[in-house]
Amino acid sequence: MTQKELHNQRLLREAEQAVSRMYTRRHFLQDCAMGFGALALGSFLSSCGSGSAATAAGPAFDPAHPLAPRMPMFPARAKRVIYLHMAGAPSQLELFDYKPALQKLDGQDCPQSLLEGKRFAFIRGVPKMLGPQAQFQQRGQSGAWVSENMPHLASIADELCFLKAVTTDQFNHAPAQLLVQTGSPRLGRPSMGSWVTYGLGTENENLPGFVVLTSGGKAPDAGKSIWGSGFLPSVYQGVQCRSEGDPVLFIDDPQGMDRDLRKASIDAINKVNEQEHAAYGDPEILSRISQYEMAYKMQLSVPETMNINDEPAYIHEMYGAQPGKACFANNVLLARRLVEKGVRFVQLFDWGWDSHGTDANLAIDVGFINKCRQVDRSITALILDLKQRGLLEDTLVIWGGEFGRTPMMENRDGKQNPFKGRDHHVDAFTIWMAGGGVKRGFSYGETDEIGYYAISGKTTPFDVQATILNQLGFDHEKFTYPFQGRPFRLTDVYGKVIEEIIA
Amino acid sequence: MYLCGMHLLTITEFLAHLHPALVHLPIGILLTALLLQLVARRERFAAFRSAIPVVLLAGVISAVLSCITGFLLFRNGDYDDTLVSAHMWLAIGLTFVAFALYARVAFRGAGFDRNSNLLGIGLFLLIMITGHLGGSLTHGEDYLTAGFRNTPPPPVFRPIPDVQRAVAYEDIVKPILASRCNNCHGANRQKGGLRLDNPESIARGGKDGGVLVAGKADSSELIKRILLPENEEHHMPPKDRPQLSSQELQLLTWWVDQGGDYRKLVKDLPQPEKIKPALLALQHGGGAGAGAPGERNIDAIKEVLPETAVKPADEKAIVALRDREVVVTPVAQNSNYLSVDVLGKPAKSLMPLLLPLKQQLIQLDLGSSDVGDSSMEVIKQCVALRVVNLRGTKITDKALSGLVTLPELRVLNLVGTNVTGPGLLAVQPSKHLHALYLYHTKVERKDWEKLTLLYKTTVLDSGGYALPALTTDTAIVRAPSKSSGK
Repeated sequence: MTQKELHNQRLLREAEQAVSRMYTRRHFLQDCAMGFGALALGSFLSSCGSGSAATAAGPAFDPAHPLAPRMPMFPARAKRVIYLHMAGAPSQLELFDYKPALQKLDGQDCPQSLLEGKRFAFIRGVPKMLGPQAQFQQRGQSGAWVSENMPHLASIADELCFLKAVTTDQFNHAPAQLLVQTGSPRLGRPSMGSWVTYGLGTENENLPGFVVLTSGGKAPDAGKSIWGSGFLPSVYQGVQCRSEGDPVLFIDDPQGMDRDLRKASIDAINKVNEQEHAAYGDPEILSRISQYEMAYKMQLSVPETMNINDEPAYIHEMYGAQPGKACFANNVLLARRLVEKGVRFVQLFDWGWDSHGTDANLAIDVGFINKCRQVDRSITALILDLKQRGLLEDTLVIWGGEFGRTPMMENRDGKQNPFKGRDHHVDAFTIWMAGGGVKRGFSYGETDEIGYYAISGKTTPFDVQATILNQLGFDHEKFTYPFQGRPFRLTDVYGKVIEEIIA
Repeated sequence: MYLCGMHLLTITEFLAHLHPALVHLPIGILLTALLLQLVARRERFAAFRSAIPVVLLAGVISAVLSCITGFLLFRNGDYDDTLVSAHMWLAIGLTFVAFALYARVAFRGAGFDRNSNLLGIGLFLLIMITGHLGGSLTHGEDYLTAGFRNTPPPPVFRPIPDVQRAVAYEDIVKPILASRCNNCHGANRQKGGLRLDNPESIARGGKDGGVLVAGKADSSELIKRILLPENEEHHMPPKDRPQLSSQELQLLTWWVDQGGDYRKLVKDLPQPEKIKPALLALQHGGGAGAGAPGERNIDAIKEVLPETAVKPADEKAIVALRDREVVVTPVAQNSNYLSVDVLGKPAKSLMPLLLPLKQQLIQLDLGSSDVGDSSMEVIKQCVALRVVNLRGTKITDKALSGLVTLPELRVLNLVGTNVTGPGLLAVQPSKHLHALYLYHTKVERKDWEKLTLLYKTTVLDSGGYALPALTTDTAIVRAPSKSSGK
């Protein structure tokens, strides 16, 4: 036997071993279960209403076209979502939840009854009450209270639908953000945008279905998990785009590689993958192929869509955008461009709303006001721009944080903070929605006279998620994905559609 | 493997669910046997006599099987106790009578003596009564006679002329309980020993104790059960029964919170702000309906989806469009109505392909495509269209006559087109049109007033919104220098 023959023989054996390793006990059992089980019982049992969750409730999933547009369960009121998440949690007491009674208590010790059995992130001992640090006015025909901190938004109060008694059970940023975006305070669940792209696919195959834009100089505390796909196929995770420089890192072909060569190499890779798929039939391989193809198309379409320079000057002025810089206003303008091009779910995170009063930037009467001013013009412009383009009709916009802020002044470690600030508060906060088939100029839920507890129309992040899915045409209780032996849903076992706010 | 385990557990449930189908066997077979017995008396039909025992035996066996599956169903299900036990004992009796008849006919050959006749008549009556009770259990007690009642069931609330002078219990609470609870907790049935159709019974409560704590809705079982999640076993009314609307719940809670008094007038009870709208709604006769969330949702869906069903579109026509990268999706599962989006790609040549879908097509997005006035010939024929987007296309006033007049049109987007005011004024808009987007069109300010008169029920959006420049846009607040010294 020559050296070469020996070498070839070794290679052959290695390949055989590789193949047999692929065929594990798990594969065998899975194949058996699928084969015999499905054959014998599949049609019979599913007709008895106990078939697998994926076929009975979930949308048809075609691994070769994971992002192909799919129909909702029932006629949808909204086709797209823009979620403006103010990471850090803005103070409802300086924006929308006007509490004159709190002013009277300003500077007094907080009554024991409000502190007993409570846990705060930073407040220790007995804090002082802190009156509203902004002037309020009733706005528009709906008479919604909006403070002077957002003068532009105040002028369109009649377009908005406020949820004033949202509650949560997480008083730290990361778990609370996860709860709002993924339906669980712990890691590992798919985010709302992933669920929605899984359910509906995306109309524009040249763009990702779920895009994430961040601003404020810091990523959200919970990290990329809040736009992760969890146990859903990875193709549904949020694609984070940047508003400065390349919108997606490494989107340009490297020097010396032209587009034809790129195409040729992707074709070659896909051919290998097709062979793999023919051999093993793993659907994730098909999903991989489609991802390569999408990435190739996105190399052209994403930079074009993400370039806000071709917007006319009056639109830039309307949004207060600053081309070339990374800022929230640019992201908001981008969000409009993306939904216009058929992106299903756009999520914006803006950091800097954590007004503890530990420094001037985090003071409720300094940095917080500046944060409000940073977003006021652009979010107002977004609503009006979507409206005039006829997009607000079927685009649901949501603005809010992950929890609220206390009516008490924060006293970190029992000592007074250098600036006025408020601690994290789980028992009441405000979010608002606009468009997408929710009521205009409406307010739901109220808090007690100091904004401490929700007293009516109490809602939870699960209710908000259920409502968003409802507007998109999904019953949140039936929209499931089978994982680890049971069907999972975005709202876990909670949530009730907030029917009261649906137009 | 786990698959099998899961289903073994539910096998009894499966068998139990066979009961409603299985019961028809003994009914049919035993009635056949009785019929044979009746006619075989005559010598002409004497040939049938030998068949009677076999048919009776089959009837007995199927009756036994029905009894077993019925018992399983009784254990799994939640049925009206008195009705179900009557049904059960009668069915067991029926089986024994059938067996006795079989024994007489088969072993004694005594098919036509007096005792056999009595057994036959008894069996016939038992089949009728047991069957009727079974039907009542499945379909509801009033199912059979529903056709005789030509008046529709009364609304939950009759309009109350002056709600303040109404009696809180008699005029508000009692109708809610009557419509939502009394079917199972009323004069006919008292599930859980509870009756909710008169003050004394409400006060007495059920077999687990009182249901109402005057002044404390939070502690009252009556309210707590309604508030439980619908999937919860103890939730009331049961999952598949009509639920209370949020307004009805509000009113009920309010009545309990204010003391659960049976005689007081509404005006004598404290009325927090939040209950006022619900009380006022009663006066308009809208009653519960106005607040019933489910109904409102259906209204909203009606706007999107036609009420009448449509036959499925030609699959070939859909594939032809999809082959050309057009997005064609049903607007909902189990609906044949379609939404078409060309994604801004050239669409002029595609238009004829839409024609086969004209009955199903209700949403059409041609935004940013190359369609022009000539394409309207096709759109005009798509009479089911509700939402049409022609944003950024080359259409002009010529296109409007077939478009704005589409009979079902709800939303029309003409942003960035060359349509003009006079053009829009020259057509009679669809009476359903509720939104017309005219940003960046040639519609001039002077036509606006006339347009709002012609399009009275439509929201016209001219766009062109601008935000004033405010000092807050650029000014930055700085910390007062003193406070840093604190």
